[in-house]
Amino acid sequence: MPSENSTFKFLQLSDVHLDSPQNRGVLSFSPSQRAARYTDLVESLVGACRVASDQNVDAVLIPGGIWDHRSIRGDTAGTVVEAIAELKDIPVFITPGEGDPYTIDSYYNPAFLSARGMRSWPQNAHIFNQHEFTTIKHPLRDDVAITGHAHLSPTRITERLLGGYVPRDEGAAFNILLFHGSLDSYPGMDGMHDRLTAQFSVEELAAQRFNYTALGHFHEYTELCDENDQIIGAYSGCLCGRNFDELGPRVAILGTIVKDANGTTTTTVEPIEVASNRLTYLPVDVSGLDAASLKEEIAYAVQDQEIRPDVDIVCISLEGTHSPEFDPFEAAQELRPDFYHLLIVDRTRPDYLAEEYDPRTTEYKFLESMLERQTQAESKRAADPRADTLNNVPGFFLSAKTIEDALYYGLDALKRQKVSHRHVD
Amino acid sequence: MWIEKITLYGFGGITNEEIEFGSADVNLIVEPNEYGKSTLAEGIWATLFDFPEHGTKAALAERETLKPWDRKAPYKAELDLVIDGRSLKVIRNFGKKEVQVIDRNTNEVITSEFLGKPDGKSDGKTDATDQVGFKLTGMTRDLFRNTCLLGQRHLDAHHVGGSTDIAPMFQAMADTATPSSTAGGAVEALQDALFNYAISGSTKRMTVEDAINELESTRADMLQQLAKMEVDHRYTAELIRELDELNNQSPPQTAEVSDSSLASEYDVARMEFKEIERKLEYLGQRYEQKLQLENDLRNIDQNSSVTSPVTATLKDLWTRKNSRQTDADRLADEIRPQQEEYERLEQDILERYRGLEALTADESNSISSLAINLYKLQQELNDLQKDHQEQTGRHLQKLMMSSQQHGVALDVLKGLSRSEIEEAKNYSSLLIMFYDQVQEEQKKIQETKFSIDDIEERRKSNRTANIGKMLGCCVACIAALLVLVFTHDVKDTPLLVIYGAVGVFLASLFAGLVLGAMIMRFKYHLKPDAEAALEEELKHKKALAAVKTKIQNLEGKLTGIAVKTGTTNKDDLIKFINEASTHEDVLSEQETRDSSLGNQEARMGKLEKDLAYFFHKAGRDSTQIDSQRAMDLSQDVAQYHKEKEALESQFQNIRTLRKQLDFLLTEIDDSAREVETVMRRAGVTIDPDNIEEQISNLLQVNTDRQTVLNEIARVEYDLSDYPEPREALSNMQFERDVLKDKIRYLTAQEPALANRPEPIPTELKAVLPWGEKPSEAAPDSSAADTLARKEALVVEIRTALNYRDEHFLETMEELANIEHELNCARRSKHAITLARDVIKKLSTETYEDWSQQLNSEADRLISQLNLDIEKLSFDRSLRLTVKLKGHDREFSSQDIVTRLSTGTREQVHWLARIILTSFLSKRQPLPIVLDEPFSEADDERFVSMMKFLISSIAPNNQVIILSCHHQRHQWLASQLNLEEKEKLTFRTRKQLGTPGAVR
Repeated sequence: MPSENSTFKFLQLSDVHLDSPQNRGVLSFSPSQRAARYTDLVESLVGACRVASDQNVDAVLIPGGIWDHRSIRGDTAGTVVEAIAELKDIPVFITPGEGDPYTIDSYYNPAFLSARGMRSWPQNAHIFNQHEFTTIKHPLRDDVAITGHAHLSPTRITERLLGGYVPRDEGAAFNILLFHGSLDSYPGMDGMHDRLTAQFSVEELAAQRFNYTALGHFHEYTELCDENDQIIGAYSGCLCGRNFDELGPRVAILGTIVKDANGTTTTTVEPIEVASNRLTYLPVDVSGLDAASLKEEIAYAVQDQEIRPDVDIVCISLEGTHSPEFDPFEAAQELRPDFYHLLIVDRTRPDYLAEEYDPRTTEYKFLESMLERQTQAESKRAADPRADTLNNVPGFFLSAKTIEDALYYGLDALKRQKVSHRHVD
Repeated sequence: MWIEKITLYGFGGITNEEIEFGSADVNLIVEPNEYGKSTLAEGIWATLFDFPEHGTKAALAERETLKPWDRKAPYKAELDLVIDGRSLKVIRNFGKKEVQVIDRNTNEVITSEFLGKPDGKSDGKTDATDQVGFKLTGMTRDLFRNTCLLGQRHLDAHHVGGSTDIAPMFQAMADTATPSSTAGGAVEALQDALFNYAISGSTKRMTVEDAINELESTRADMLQQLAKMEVDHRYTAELIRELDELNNQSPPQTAEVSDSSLASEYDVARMEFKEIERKLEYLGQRYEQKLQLENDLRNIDQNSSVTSPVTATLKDLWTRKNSRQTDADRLADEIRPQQEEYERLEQDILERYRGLEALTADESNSISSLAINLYKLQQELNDLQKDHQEQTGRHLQKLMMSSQQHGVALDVLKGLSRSEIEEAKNYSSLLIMFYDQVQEEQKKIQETKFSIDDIEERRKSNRTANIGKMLGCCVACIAALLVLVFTHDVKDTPLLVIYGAVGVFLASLFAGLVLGAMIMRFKYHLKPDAEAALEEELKHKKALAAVKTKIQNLEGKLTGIAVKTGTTNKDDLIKFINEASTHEDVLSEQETRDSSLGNQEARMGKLEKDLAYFFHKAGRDSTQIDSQRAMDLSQDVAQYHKEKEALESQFQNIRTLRKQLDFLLTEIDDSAREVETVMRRAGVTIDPDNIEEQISNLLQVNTDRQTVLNEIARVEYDLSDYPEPREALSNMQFERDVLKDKIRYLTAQEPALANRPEPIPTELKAVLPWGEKPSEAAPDSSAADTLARKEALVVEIRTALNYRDEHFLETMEELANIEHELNCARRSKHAITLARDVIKKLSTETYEDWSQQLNSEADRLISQLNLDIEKLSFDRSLRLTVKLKGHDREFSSQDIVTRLSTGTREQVHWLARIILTSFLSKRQPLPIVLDEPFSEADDERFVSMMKFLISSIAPNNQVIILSCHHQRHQWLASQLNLEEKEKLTFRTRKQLGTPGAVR
C-alpha cells in the first residue's frame, strides 16, 4: 500500500474508425474530399498522441475501434504504428474491438505486419490478443496493472463478460480495465440493438472493483459513476465525427486517478477535443423566408452553434416549405465560398399544402388519397420497419416518404405541369 | 349568400366609394370604359378571400397591382352581406393583411368563426389561417374567381367563344379549379419525368427504368468486386496463417558464426549476388515485356483506321444502340397482339370508308357547310326562277298591250331634254300633292263651318232655356205677391209665411232680371270658341288660296313644257310621262331579276366546284353534285373519324407503348446516326451494306487494344516497386558488380573460399523483408521448398493486400453513392408512377361525377330558358354536346366551334358556364358577377338571355352585371314587361357619405 498520495494519469481515446467509408446517403464526398476526411481521422489520432506526450501521461488507453478492419489500408496502419512509436516511453494499451478485431489478417498481428513488410509494433505498444481477460503490469510502474481482452472476430459477443470473474492484480495500487462493450443504460442514439456487443451494466462494472475502466464501442462521451457518485469508468466516444450521428466536438479523455494515503481513489476526467475540425449539421427552416432572409438565418445559426465556417465541415439541411417560385437551394449555394466545406441537402417542399382545395376537384381528391396512403404506410411501417418496396421485398408497400414524394410530384404536375426529380433520402 | 354593399376605401383606382346591391334583382352597373368595373369585381373576391400568399409570381403580384393609386387612401375594403339569415360585415385591410368579420345584428366581432388551421380544422386561435372566403362561399379562391366572376375577358382567356374546344376548360376546372391545368397535362408531365431521368453528376438523360438498370448493374458489379476482394482476403488470411506456421515450424535460428567471419561474409555476398541476379533477370524480363507491349500498342494504333477515343466512343454508342434494340424488340413483341387487333379494326374501318381517310374532320365540317349552303342556294334559285318566269310573262303582256301607246309617249317626250322631263315629273308630283292639299284645306274649311254652325245652334238653345227659366221666375213673383195680398187681412198670419213670401218674391225677381239680361246678350255665350272657329276658317281659306296660286303657277309651267312637245295641254303631257316611266320601270325590274338569277347560278357553280374537290379527293363521282350527296359525304367522313377516334381511344395504351417504342426507335436511330457521324469524322468510308461488319472490325481493334493495355497494366503492377525500371536495372547491375568485386576480393583474401560449397537456400532469409538473420542451419532437403514457398507466399500476400488497399475502400465509397442513387431512382420511379396512376384514376372519377351533376343542372336550367338550345349535355370526359331546336342532329364540341355562328356559340358556351356556376354554388347560392356579358349576341338573343337571368338565375343567385353599353341596357329595359323591369335595377357608385344610389 502506498504511504502517500500516488497518481495515475492517462489519456483515453477510442473509436477513431480510421479508413472507414465516409459516403452515406446524402452525405456524399468527392474522391479528394474523402481523402481529406481520411487524413482528418488520422490526424486526430496523431493529435491525441501529441497531447499524451505533452501532458506526460502514464499511459494511453485505447479500448478498441482504432480502425475499420475491412477497409483499413497499410499506409494508415503504418502511420498509427509510427505515431505510437513516437510516444517512446509512454506505454499504449490497446484492446481490439469488434470493428478492429485481433485476427490473423489484422494489423495488430505481428505476423501480418511482417508478411506485409511493415515495421512491427514498437516496444511501448501492448496489444491484448486473448479472448480471456489478462492482466499485465505497467512496464514502468509496478503499482499499475492493466486488464483487458481482445475481440478475436468481427462478430458480436453475446456473453455478459463483466457478469463473471475478471482478473485483477490485487497487489497493484491502480487496477485499470480496458473494455470494448455496450452499456445497458447508454443514453446515446447510437446504442441501437444491432450494435450491441458484450453488454454490461453499471452495477456489473462496479462489482469488478477496478479503479477505472476505459470503455470503447459507443460514440458519445459518457461517464459512469458508482452509487457514491464516483467515476468508475467512461466512454470517450469517437475521436472525430464522421456522419450525422457524430456531430459537433468529439473528444479524448485526459484522466487522473489519485490514491490517497487511506487508499481512497479519486478519479477526474477531462474531455479534450483533439480533432482539427468538426462535422456540423445545421437544419434551417426556410418557411416564409426569401433569399436574403434565408442567408441571414443561416448566418445566425452558424454563429449560434459556434460553427467555424473556415474549418468545420458544415451540412446545411434545408427544411420546411417555400413558395414554388423560390429555390432555397440556389440561394444557399451562393454561400458556398464562405465555407471550407459546405454540403447542402434540400429537403424542402413547395408550400402546396398551405393552399385551399375544393373537395370536388381531382386535385383535392389526389391530396386526400395521398395523405391517407401516407398515414397507412406510417402505421404499417411502425408495425414492420422493413416495410418498403425499395427494399425489394416482394409484396411490401411503398414507404410514407415515397408516398409523400408522389404527393408532391403529382401536385407539381397538376399545378406547374413540370416535374423535377428529387435526390434526397 | 348575397352582397348588400361593397365599400372600397382604397382599391386600385377606386377611392372612398360604395355600391349597394339588391338581392333578387339583376343589378346593372353601367359605366364607361376605364371606370373601374373590373376593379370592382376584383374587390369582391379579394375582400372575401384576400390575395394569395402562395403560388405563381403573377398571383403573388396581385396584392401589389391593386394597391390604391391614391397613396393616402388605406388599402382596405368592406363587404356587407347576408348569409343563412345572418347579416355580416367583412372588413379587410389588404395593407396590414388583417380581416375582421362582424355580425351586424349584434355588432359582435365573430372573426374567429372564420379562421382555421391549414389542415382545415377550426380552432379559433388568433394565429390560425384566414378562411373567411372559404367558409362563406364553400369554395376556394380560385374556384370562386373562375366560376362566380364571369367576364368576356375570362371567356376569351378560356377560349369560350373563340375557336377552340371548351372541354379542356371544364376538365381543368374539375381537376384543379383553375381554367388552364388539367389532369391530362399532369399525367403527361409525370410520364415525361419517367422518360427523362439523370443520375446525379451526369447530364445524360434516360428513362428512369434504364437508370435503375444501369445503377443496379453497376451495383452488382461492385458487390461482385467486393465479394471477390473478400474471398481474396480470406484466402490471403490463409496464406498469412500458412506463412506464420512455416515460420513457426522453422523458427529463426541464431546465426552461427562459420569457421571464420570471412567465410560467412563470402557466403552472404554470394547469396546476395545470386538474389540480385534473380531480381535482375525478373526485372529485365518484365521491362522487356513492357517495351514489347508498348510497341504492340503503337502498332495497333498505327494500323487502326481510327483513334482509340473514337473506338471507345463507337463502342459506347454501339452498345447503347444494341441495348435499345433489344428493348425495342421486347416492347414490339409485347404490343404485337394488340397492335394486330388494332390494325385489323383499322383496316376494317378503312375498307368501309374507303377513300375517306384522305379527308379530315375539319373538311367534313366544311363539306357539311357547303352542302347546307348549296341546298339553300338551290332553293333560292328555284324560287327566283319561278318568280322570274311569272314576272316576265306578266310584264311582257303588259308591254305588248301598251306598246303602241308607249311608243307615242316616247315619241312625244323626245322633244324634251332629260332635265325638262325630270322637271315635268316633279311638277306633276307637286301638282298631285297640292291637289291633295287643296282637298285637305277645303275639307278643313268645311269642318270649321260645321263648327261655327254648331256654336250658333248651342247659343240658340241656351237662349231658349234662359227664356223658360225667366218665365218660371215671373210665375214665382206673381205667386209670392198673391200670398202677400191674401194674407194682408188675415189676423194671426204667421210671420214666417210673410217673410217667406217676401223672400221668394225678391229672389225670383232678381233671377228673372239676370236671365233677362242673358237673353238680351246671348251672343256672348261661347264667344271665344266662335272667334277661334272663325279664325281657323280664315286661316284655311288663306292656305287654300295660296295652294291654288301654286297650282296655277305649276300648271302654267307644265303648259309651257307641253307646248314644247306639241301636245294640246298639260294633262296629256303628264299622261305621256307616266306611261314612259312605267315602261322603263318594267324593263329595269326585269333586268335586275335577270342579273340576280345569274349571280345565284354563279354562286351555285362555285359551290359545286368547291364540293367537286372534296368528291374528287374522296374518290367519288364528281359529275353530278347535289346537296344530298354532299351531306352524305360529310356524314360519312364524320362517321369515319368518329369510329377512328373510338378505336384510338380503345387502344390508347397501345399509343403509350408505341410512344415508348418510338422513343426507343428514335434513340436507336440517333445512336446509329451518331455512329455514322463519328465514323465519318474519323475519316472512315462507310459501306452502308456492311456497316455492322465495319463496326465489328473497328471494335475488335478496340478489344485487342484493351487486351494489350490490360497486359501493360499487369506488367506495370509487377514493376510497381520500380518507378524507373531502367534506372533500377542500372542500379542493380551496379550492385551486382559491387558484390562481384567483393566476392573476388574475398577470394583473393582467402583462396580456399572458392572451394566452399554453394550456400544453402535458407540463407536467402538474409534478404527477406522481416529482417531475420541468415541461418547457418544444416542443409535440409525440404528447406529449399519451404523457403521458396515462403517467398511465394510473401509475394502473393503483398500483391493481394496492395490491391485491396487500392480498391476496397474506394469501391465501398462508390457503392454507397450508387446505392444512394439507386434508392433515389427507385423512389422517383415508384412515386411518379403512383402519382400518375392515382391522378388518372381520380380524374376519370371526377369527370364522371361532374358530368352527371352538370347534366342534371343543365336539364333544370334549359327547361326554364327560352333560347334556341333544346338540350345541352356533358359526356364522361366533360365534352359538350348540344342540340338546337329545329335541328335533328346534335352538335359535338368540335361542331360547336366550327359549325355554329359566333352568337350561338357564345350563347352555348355562356350557358355551359352558367350551368357550371350553378352546380358549384348549389350548396350555397352565390352571387354571379358578369363583366360585359353577351357582347357577341344579337339583340334578340341578348334580350332572351337577360330575361333568363332575371327569371331563372336571379331568384336563386344574386346577379351583378358590369357593362359599358348604356343605350343597349336602356333599350333592354324597354323590351321587358313591367314585372321583369322591376327586377332590373341600375346601380351606381357613390362617394362615401352621399345619399342615393338607385336610379
